[in-house]
Amino acid sequence: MIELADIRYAWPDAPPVLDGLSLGVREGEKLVLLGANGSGKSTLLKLMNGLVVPQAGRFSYCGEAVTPARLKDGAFARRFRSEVVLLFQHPEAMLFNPTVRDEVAYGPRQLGLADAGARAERWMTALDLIQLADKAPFALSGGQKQKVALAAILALEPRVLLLDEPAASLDPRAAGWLVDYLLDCGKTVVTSTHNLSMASELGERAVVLGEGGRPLFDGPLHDALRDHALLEAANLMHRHRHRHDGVEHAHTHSHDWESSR
Amino acid sequence: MTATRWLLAYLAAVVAVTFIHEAWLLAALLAAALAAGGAGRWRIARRAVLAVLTFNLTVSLGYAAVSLWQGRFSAAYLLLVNLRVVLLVYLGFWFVARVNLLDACRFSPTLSFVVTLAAGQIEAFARALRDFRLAFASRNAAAPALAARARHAAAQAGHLLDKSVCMAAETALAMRSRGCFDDHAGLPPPQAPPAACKKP
Repeated sequence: MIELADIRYAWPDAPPVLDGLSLGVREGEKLVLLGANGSGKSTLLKLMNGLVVPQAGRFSYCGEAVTPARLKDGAFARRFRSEVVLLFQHPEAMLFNPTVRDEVAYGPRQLGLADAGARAERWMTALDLIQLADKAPFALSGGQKQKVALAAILALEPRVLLLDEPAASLDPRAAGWLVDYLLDCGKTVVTSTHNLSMASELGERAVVLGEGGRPLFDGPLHDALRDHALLEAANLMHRHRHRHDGVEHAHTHSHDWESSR
Repeated sequence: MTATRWLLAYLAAVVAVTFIHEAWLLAALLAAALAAGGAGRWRIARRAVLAVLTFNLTVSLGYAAVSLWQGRFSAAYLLLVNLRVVLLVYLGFWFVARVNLLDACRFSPTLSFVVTLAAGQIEAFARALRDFRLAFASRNAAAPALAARARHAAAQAGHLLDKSVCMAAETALAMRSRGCFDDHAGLPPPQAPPAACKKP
């Protein structure tokens, strides 16, 4: 469904954040992108959403190359933007409507869908946002903003969900709902995280990005999570000293770091 | 040449350019600066033109409208002002691309400190702006309406204002915490801790 071949990308005036990355995602697959801060996870998701253009390599969606020229074709852009959605790491970047209700209904309304209002109600209910429906998104807490942004993209009922650290500021109940939803939804989901305990709940396949955007691993998620040498190389685990009952020793372990916000 | 000397040369060039009132000379200097600009000259020139385009266009059109109405329009003056601004901005971008500003300001700890703070803030704001732009593109399956663009611009401005206030407050607190503000100037230096507080 999604194909990336030998991708290279560097932000302006910066070294490459992705280099030589090839990756395929099948329909319905749940892929987890693991990597430390700066490993290129967010950039890769933006690339899969057609927002940034690789300097080398090829990105295609459902067999069609996604290029700036292709995205200028209204029909293709409309289909691509409604089928492939991205939840940004910092949700405030996505919110610009006067109320939560308008925010969630914005995408469906823009597509001219007759049931835009009903979709908004349904997703606000699912994400426990009904009581906030008439509030301004900018006045909400970080976790509430993240739920509004999530509801806004889910209201499009897309085929592919690209989620950048989706549980970073969600409360435990909302995070639990998200995990259940992702496992049951049947959609293609690509989730980036550096939270290893959350990662195990988010999919069955992992791509581990090393520092400098090099792919270190592509395979079963549980194999990646058991491979401490791999996780240490990706800066997802570290080794430090512990003291237990007066005895000091050192071993690798992970910390469930919060997002880099 | 050291970074500090580049900085001094740049400052001297900026002052010198403001004393030139001949459009042909400014154009020649701009051409010379472009010729000396190296491989990145066109990227820097494009950036300089884009940076001043909106502001200069507005000012130039305003000047043209008022001066035509008053019957004293001068195309030479308009050319002179625009060439000067483009040259100054080009020199600024060229300098920043060529010279490490932190190295250039290393002779003054205070200046280095201010430049570091400014560079950090610029980077944070550039990333926030980029995310806003990309998120808006991502959320629009069709061309957005003018009202949606306006709401997005307002949301972006509001967020950046909040962020700048918050970052300024946090930075000030962090600086105070690290002893950057000398609130107790003139007071005697701290006493040695009493023996009971000393480590064994």
